[in-house]
Amino acid sequence: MTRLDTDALIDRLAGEAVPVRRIGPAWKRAALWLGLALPPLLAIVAVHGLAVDMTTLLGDRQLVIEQLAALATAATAAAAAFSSTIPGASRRWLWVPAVPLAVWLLALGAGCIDDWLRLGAEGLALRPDTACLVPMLLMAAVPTGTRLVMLRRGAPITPRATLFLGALAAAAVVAFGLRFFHIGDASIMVLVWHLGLAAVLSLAAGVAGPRIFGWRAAALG
Amino acid sequence: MAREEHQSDDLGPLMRSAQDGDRDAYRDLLRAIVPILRRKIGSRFPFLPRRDVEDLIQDILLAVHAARATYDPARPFLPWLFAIARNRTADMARRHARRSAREIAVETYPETSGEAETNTGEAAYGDAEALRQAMKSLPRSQRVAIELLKLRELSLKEAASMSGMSVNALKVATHRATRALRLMLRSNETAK
Repeated sequence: MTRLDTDALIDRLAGEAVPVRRIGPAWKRAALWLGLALPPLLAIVAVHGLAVDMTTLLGDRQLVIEQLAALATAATAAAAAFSSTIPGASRRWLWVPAVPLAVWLLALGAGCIDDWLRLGAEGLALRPDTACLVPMLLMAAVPTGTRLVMLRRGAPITPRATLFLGALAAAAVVAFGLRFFHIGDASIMVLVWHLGLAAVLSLAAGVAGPRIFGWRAAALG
Repeated sequence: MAREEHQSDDLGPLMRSAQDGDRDAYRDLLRAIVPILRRKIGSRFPFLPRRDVEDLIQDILLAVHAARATYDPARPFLPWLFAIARNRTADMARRHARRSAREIAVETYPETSGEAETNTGEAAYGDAEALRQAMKSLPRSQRVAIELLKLRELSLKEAASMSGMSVNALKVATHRATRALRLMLRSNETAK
């Protein structure tokens, strides 16, 4: 009982070869993904309305740093996820999101310390927060859907890292949007609910990587 | 190494033409990479039986086919190919490790019954050519299921991930294919 011999397989694959659209550079695809993910997210923020006006918002330096770091985490994680689906691409890019992620964590950590100094133990109290569940699901739909479709065009060379980084990108962009509903809230709430959720989703996606994103034997006819 | 770099200069443009749908260029490319892969695998796993080497090469060719849109013609071809080859080789090594963990080495096989009826199944599958012909007449989904699960001995999960079929669809396809093959082979036997 033998498999097809290699020459026959080559003939079969060559016979099925149709023109394919080449995948663009990872950074371009990340920019496209952000371009698709951000408008619906900002529309949801606009519909819900901001708790404070834009001038107050931009005056809060810590919040601006936190939001820029979240956005940079989303952008770099998306670029790294796309890059991880290109065989032979440098694996160093996979570590780039660690930098904005660290800044994001530090900004939230600094916020927690501020709250603690200002309010004492009350500043670190954690409450369940279900109010933002619906906007969160709405915001997550487009980034998650587009990300999965775009990633599946690539090769599953490192499926765990790819899905981990992809989920981190989606979670960071959603956290960026949700933060507009929580201006003035304790940092611990944002740290636990937003970043915690991002961590859980990213790890779950990483573990499920090979099941969701595996080689498809499109060629087996 | 210098030889491979030289080959890479030729292979990049071939892959670019293949991406544009040039079937002859694609055939030339795949034929050119087989000896490169065979050399690479042979030097890394000199103990691997020839059949397993061919299986691995075919796996890599299928992966190259599935991933051909990810090749950037501005970059060298061989690092792209070797990244795919490394991935498929690691996968094969994992499969081997899993399989050998389930198997027990024995020096002599236990004797089976000498009764003629216990050997009829084996005898029916003894005609490899008849089986190959019968396989060709199966519908695509059934052929894929048999190729992945029975010939390449993948697990249901692996086969589902490779074929894009669900585990249940694979089970059904395998069951139907086995029944169809049995019927076809039996009718062949009767005709003889």
